[in-house]
Amino acid sequence: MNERIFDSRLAERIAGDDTARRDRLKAVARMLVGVVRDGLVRDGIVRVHGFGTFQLRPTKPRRGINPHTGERILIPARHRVIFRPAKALRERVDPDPGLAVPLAEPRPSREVSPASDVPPGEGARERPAVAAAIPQAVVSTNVERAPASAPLVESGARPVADVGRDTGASGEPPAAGAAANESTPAGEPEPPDEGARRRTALVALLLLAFVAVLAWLLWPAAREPVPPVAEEPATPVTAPEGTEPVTEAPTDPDSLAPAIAATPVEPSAPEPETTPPASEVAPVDIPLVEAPPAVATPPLEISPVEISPAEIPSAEIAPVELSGPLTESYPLIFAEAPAVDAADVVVLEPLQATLAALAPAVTEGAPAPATPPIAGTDAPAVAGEWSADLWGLDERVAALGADLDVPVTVETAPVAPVPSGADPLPGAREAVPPDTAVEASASASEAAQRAIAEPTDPAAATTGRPWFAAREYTVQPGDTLWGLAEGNYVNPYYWPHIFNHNAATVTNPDRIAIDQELLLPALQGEPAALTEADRTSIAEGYLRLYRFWAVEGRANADYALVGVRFFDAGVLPADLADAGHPSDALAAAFHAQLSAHYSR
Amino acid sequence: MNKSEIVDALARRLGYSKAESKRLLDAHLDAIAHELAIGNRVVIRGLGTFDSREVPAHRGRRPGDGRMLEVPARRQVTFRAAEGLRDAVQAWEPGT
Repeated sequence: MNERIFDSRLAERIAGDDTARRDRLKAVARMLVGVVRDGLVRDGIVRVHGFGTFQLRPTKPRRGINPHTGERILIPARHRVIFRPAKALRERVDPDPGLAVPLAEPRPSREVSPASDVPPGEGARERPAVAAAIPQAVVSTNVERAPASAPLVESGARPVADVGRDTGASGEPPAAGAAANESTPAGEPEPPDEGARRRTALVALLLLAFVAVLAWLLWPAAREPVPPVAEEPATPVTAPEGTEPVTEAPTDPDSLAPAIAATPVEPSAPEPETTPPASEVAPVDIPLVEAPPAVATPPLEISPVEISPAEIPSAEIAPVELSGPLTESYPLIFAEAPAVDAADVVVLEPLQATLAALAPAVTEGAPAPATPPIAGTDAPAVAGEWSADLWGLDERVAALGADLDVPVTVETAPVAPVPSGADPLPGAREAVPPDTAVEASASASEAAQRAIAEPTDPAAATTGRPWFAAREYTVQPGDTLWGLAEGNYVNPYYWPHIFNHNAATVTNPDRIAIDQELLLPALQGEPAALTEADRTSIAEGYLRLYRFWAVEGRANADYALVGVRFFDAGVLPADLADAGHPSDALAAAFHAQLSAHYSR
Repeated sequence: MNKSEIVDALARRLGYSKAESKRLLDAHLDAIAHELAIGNRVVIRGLGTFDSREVPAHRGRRPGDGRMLEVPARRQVTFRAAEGLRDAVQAWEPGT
């Protein structure tokens, strides 16, 4: 038992002394690895009948923290290998797993009075089942976990008069106690199974005590000596009975024990309610429920369903589609630029107007993973930044949207090759008042030093400095143009921008040398709102890529032209711009794919 | 990929007959299942580790109607892919 059996030993166990068979078995085990791997890479799934299914499941990229350095990193999308055992294997490992037993009514029914919710016949049928299902699991574990609450069983069975006294003593309104006294005889049913009834009572007790204490603590009004006339007839009583103990009973502190006695009458109430005399019983119960009515909502807030969404924020903000270059989709990569300030959430919008209509704004404020070191910025930011990013995102998106209308022009940085007339709103430059312009150039040089601009800074946007100011960069080990583009321009698919501006030194974009000097060209517009100049330069880069691939005879060279068409089809030479060209169809297919992706 | 394709691939790569490959594969799978059933952990190097674990009784919800369920304890087969396999499968391109 609990041994680790290696494949070689497995073969020995099967074959015994038959060495020839053993060797064959070992060979099969060795080969099986490659076969399954190839099957997964080819199909994403390998079904082994009678044994199980290996399957790949894509995971989304998410943000994480390097446990060693505390550095925030973007954990890229991956494929996870999962294995689902076949029925035969499951049954072999666990021959008698048992069946899941329904515990109680579905939650929604708590809002509705059981009289209207459950047909009488059905209710009568279901109750015993519930009572039977609860005891072994719920009640027994409760008692085990909280031995201090064991005496409660007694208190639940105590004479009603005692109960009423306890109620008064524990600080509950005396009126409620008296009411409890009166109502109890009517509510006391004759249950067929005394043990089950008591256990059910215990569960309901624990719950109601908790609720009562909560009410007493949270609602000062509930402490008023004169309890309000009940507004909700008996509903809260029945509702919690089945579902609540599950979530709340374990959390009952022992200190609640005295208060628990305050509500012992309730548990007996729910049972009769589904039986014919219910109509008589329910009204009498009203006074009992007085403390709970004020509290009718708290149990809802406390239930685990409500608690768990605490994790949701992080889940909401992780949707990034990363994929191989141009093979599946242009990414809308929303990564945080490697900046110092908190104001660097960058929101990319779809890169084309048509796509903008289709694509919901997927946002991600994430640190770029393989960011090249940037002088002066390597001290990356404060921890608080993250949460600021998370919660400020929407406002920032709105702010950005406003900023995007402002044409961004350059005064200090080299401008990418612009076809004449491509500068979007030339008039805007003159529109800047002189004094702001001075300020602008000052801040622009500062920005050049830091090599990063703050997209959300309205002053920067209006004064017309490029979103990313051009700078020199020395290639570090591990750098790629893709990574540099992602680290500096947020969207890695802009990498041909760099390629295009380093034509003299970079001939093969797959090969850049360590210590090689690169010019990281300026990005005029926001990554989400490229200017014509940006688009043209990127398109030219893709055209260069096409030429390079075509020379190399790469089969997928046409994919590079998809990039050209995407960013600026105007740079295509006549022979490639032809509508019948393969890249045209590819581009169309790509657009369809992207549309489908975002309409999902 | 299904089991017969696995058998074909094994037969092709090892030069055994398909029938023989299937026998050997089945022997392996059966042995793995057996070891799991008696509580052992099986390591196939390069592929991963098969193990079983006790899942304690817990409460869950039936996805269809939201009913609370008391789910009994059971024994579950787990698999953890080997590092080499985990890396290799990143080459998979969904939808192809």
